[in-house]
Amino acid sequence: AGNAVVVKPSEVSENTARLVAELLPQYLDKDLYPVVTGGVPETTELLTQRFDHILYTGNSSVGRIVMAAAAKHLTPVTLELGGKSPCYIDKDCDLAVACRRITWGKYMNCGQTCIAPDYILSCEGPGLCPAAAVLILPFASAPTILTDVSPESKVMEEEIFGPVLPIVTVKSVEEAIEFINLREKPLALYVFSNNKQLIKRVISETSSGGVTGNDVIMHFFLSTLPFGGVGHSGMGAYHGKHSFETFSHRRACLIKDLKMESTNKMRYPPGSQKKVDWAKFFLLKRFNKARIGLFVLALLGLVAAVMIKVSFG
Amino acid sequence: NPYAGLVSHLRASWLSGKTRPMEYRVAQLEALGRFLDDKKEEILEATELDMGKPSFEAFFSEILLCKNELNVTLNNLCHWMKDEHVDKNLVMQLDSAFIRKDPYGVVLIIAPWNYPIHLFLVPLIGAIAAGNCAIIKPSEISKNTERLVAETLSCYLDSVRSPSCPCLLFLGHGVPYPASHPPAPHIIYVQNLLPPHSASVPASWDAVGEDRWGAYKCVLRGGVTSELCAWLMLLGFLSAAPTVLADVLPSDPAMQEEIFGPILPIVVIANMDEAIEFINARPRPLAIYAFSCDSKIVNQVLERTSSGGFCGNDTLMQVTLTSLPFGGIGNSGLGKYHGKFTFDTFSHHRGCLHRNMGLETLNTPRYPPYTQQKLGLLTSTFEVKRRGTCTLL
Repeated sequence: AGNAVVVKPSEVSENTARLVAELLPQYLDKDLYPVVTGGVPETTELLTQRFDHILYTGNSSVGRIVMAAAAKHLTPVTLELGGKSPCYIDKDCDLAVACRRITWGKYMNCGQTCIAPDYILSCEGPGLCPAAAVLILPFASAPTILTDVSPESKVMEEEIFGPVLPIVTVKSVEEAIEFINLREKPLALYVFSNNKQLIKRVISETSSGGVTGNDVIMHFFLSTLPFGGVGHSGMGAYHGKHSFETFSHRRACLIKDLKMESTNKMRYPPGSQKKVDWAKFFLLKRFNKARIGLFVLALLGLVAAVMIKVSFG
Repeated sequence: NPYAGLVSHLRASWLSGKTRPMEYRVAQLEALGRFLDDKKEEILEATELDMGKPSFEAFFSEILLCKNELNVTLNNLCHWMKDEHVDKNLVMQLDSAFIRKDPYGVVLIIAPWNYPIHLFLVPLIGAIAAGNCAIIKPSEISKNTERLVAETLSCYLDSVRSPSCPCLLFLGHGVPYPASHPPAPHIIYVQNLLPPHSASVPASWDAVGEDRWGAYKCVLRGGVTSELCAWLMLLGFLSAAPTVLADVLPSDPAMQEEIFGPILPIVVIANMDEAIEFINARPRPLAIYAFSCDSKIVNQVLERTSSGGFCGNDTLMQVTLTSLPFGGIGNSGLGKYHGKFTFDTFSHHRGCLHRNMGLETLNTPRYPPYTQQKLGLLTSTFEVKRRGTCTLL
């Protein structure tokens, strides 16, 4: 979109950060696209500076800090945050396929994906377990399934950024929708069902950043779909053309012609060109610095003003 | 907190799903139309009392422009609410991919006093159209309008009023220009009576002195200021004390803050480049205007500056067109509205992908165990190629 950009990679992925800091300037114009590395103190300092837009990807707590810092400069922000992305599995559904797709999304990158299905809502409950268990075996690090999870348990409080998949039992799709709506709006929402109407219903009766029906994560890969959150899961969106829009100011422009002024007559206060000509006549009169002459002219001007108002007003 | 109960009640109403059907939104919008029709005289009276707004102007901005926004919205709501289907890649050809326009929920609209109806009503139109609930906070400075809105609007809308809101639209600032001053055209010549740097000042300007009534009289041979003064003298019969400040320096008080009153400083510059430099040295404004018979000049100013909006060879008109977004940049604001942009501002654009449960074999390349072969397959199906990279052998 034509901006200059400061890139601040995460200090947590040390090696990648170092690589980006070394390599990016070798490819991009380093005067316009510098890379700043560092941790919390460096980022805090950086945020005191004035930017024209900030895009932050991370968690909601830091999202608040970024937004507060941006507010000082009236800087617009795009916040890609997180949350607990629910995954509803309907009774009427190919369980094996559903579980395979879900576990793929969940355990990819060791569960450290902001749009990974965070927890499952299912009428099957623990019955879901065997199907899922088989499928998680190929994934490397200690994938875990928790069954019969209570809504109040610790694992249901915050976003799970690891290979742990709780299953919450619900009695119906209504209960699932209620469960989802009682919580903060998630970044992604997933629903598995052979019933198209049910999927439509879940989408209509809930809110989330994005949705994939009968699969997980995939809406992220279609660049024509805006990718972003809502509520606590973020604001703004990007990917594809949406990135261009996010980083552009859509400036309203109206170019008129100085001619055809007669068409504008109706918007001016009641008065003909005559009134203006009278006014100009008095204004343009030259006079010397003599006080008397000035006084006389001022008086004349006042008289003219009153006369014009009385006769035309 | 006196509003906590109100807002949670509002949120509960919203969660009931009442505002979602199009019929409901249309009913509310039509009611707003009736409000404007029924209460036209009261609105004109209230704005006259609040700030001496001439009914000609009040009708245009508070009634006509609002009705335009209503009609544009009602004419197009069905279309705006529809899911927007998007282009798909190879892998998703059999899937359904669309952008769903979801309302945010509870919206707060805080309005200023200068166009007291317009600046809450136009956002409200979009907020309702997008399916939200809204709390309207009119300005307490425009007392009469505030009272009118508070007393009568609830008879038309499914009444709801008033804390935690996902969408915020902030407008305006400033204190009202005291309309109580007796109307008298002031033409003031600022700074030195005979500017020492007269080389940069057109020879047609002469200094004068002070007249009995405490206003400098400006003597000009012609040019910008005299034209302006002539029109202002005319306007002086209708509103309070329009004033032109000639030969203003960048350091003058008039150039430090936004002027929210009928005062027009004239800064003399040598050429267009200096003007552009002057503009760019300052915070980005809400609007920039450029007048020239040469369209290249107008385009140059447009290209080399940044502002919320722009109008060439006229003023204000860009905000009357509902197909243009209205909003600021940098210090002048963020976000935009008017017409469809209001609807979009108050909607969450939700990316939705509805996939097929069958055809699971097509998904096998993505599952572990990861192999080079699978990666090759994935790449070829997911890849987007840069156009024009095909070579015909």
